[in-house]
Amino acid sequence: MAYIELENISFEYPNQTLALNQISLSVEKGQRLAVVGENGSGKSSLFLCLCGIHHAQTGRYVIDGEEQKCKRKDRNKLFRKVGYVFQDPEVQLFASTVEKDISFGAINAGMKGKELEECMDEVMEMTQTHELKKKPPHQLSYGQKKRVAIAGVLACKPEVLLLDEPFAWLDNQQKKNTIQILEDLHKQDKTIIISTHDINFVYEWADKLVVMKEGQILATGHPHELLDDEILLENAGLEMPLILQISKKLNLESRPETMEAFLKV
Amino acid sequence: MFISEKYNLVQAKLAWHPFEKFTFFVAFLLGSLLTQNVLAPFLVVACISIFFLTHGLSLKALLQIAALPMSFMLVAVVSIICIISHESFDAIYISQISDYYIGFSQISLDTGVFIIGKAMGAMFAFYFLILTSPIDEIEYLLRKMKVPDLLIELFVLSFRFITILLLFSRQCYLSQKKRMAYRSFSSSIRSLGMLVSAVLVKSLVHADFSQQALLNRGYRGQMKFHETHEPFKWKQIFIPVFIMISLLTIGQLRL
Repeated sequence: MAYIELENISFEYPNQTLALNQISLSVEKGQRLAVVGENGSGKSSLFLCLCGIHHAQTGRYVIDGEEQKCKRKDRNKLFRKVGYVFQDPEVQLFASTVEKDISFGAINAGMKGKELEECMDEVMEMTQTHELKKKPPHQLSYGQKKRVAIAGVLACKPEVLLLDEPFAWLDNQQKKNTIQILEDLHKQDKTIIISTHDINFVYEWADKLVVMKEGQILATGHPHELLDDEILLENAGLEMPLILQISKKLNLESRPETMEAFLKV
Repeated sequence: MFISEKYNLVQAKLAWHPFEKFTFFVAFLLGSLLTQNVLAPFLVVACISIFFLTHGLSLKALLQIAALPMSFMLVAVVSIICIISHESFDAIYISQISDYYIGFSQISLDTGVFIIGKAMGAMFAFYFLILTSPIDEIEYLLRKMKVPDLLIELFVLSFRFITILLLFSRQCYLSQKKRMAYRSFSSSIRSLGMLVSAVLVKSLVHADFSQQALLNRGYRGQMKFHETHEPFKWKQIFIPVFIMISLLTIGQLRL
């Protein structure tokens, strides 16, 4: 059985907007999953259901063999398994200093004393936030805030990490830093699920791709196959990755998997 | 920007336990308030000014922070110093305007100077606490003083989110201004109303997202954080206690 199983999940907001319509999805442990789609396609709503903040009105959600019910007790257990990094770090950072903000989730997860300090050191090293620890969040740059937001979620030691638009408004260097954090997490066998509009990154990075539109899943599969399907891309309002576009123009027989491989060809 | 961050040179150089700083603050505050003469508050202002100057604050910055509440203070004190009467009185200065005598006497002047001295002393004591203690140390002190969690959490969240709302308000205001929203009195009133409603909506949406983010990190009605501070030294307590006793003694002198 997959680590995460969603069966016919539907979610409607109180204003009767159907955000998720009969979503079925399975994610293996340690997998790198990317969710793509136009704005309003239901990516963020899917993430909010996965981390237990929204409860699906219909369907079944199973994680690590445990079915999640719409109870507060389940949500309190779920936050240790699934961490969610919001698109806008401003909504996530609330404490008076970076160090306190990072410690908040770890303390709620039951850590204290040496274990807490080791955990904080580990996440601050991974996210390069050591030198920021005494600063108040409003003195940080946007990229720094994003790194602190990731550190705050990682401190809860979740097995699954959800990142909503992790590269939004980041400069090139900050984007590279974030990709490095994702690589480190992948090496630790964490399951990573991101929603993004960066189709070139998805093509090179993801093990599995989910294409969404109007609250439904249009297609699920390997990004190398799905992103080569022009009809699907047009239907979902997506662009073909640059590597594939140029490969097609040049009539290359092979489809390089990364930009490096492409440049070698 | 908050005053504690604008002039944070002092806190950067002061590695004391928050409670040590707090005892100095209490000593200065009580020394200023429980006094019968103007000498004790003057000594408090002088001591704290010398402390700031020797810990990296420039004279210009010191004068700036001293001048901040001066306008409020002067308005309040002028009403005490100034005497308006139908009848003439013993005064240092007096002038007659129509049927009224306006001026100030020795007693009213002494009272005004005494009140302004007390207020300056207390204000400098607060500056001492604010400029030497980052916000997380003040939060730590509030927790140690058993202030209810609800108030501390309100304090923490207000400190954090007021900066976001101020930034949003500024951006919104500039965006309106660039579109001639404040060209006349009526359009200014309308634009200001729209600005306030936009800030309100933004704060509601932001609060909703923030609550989701807190729940996602296991928030169950109580905020607990990792506290790291300099070690507390009992020896350091003797100095503020000595200062407080000295100031209280000086404050009781009849000058």
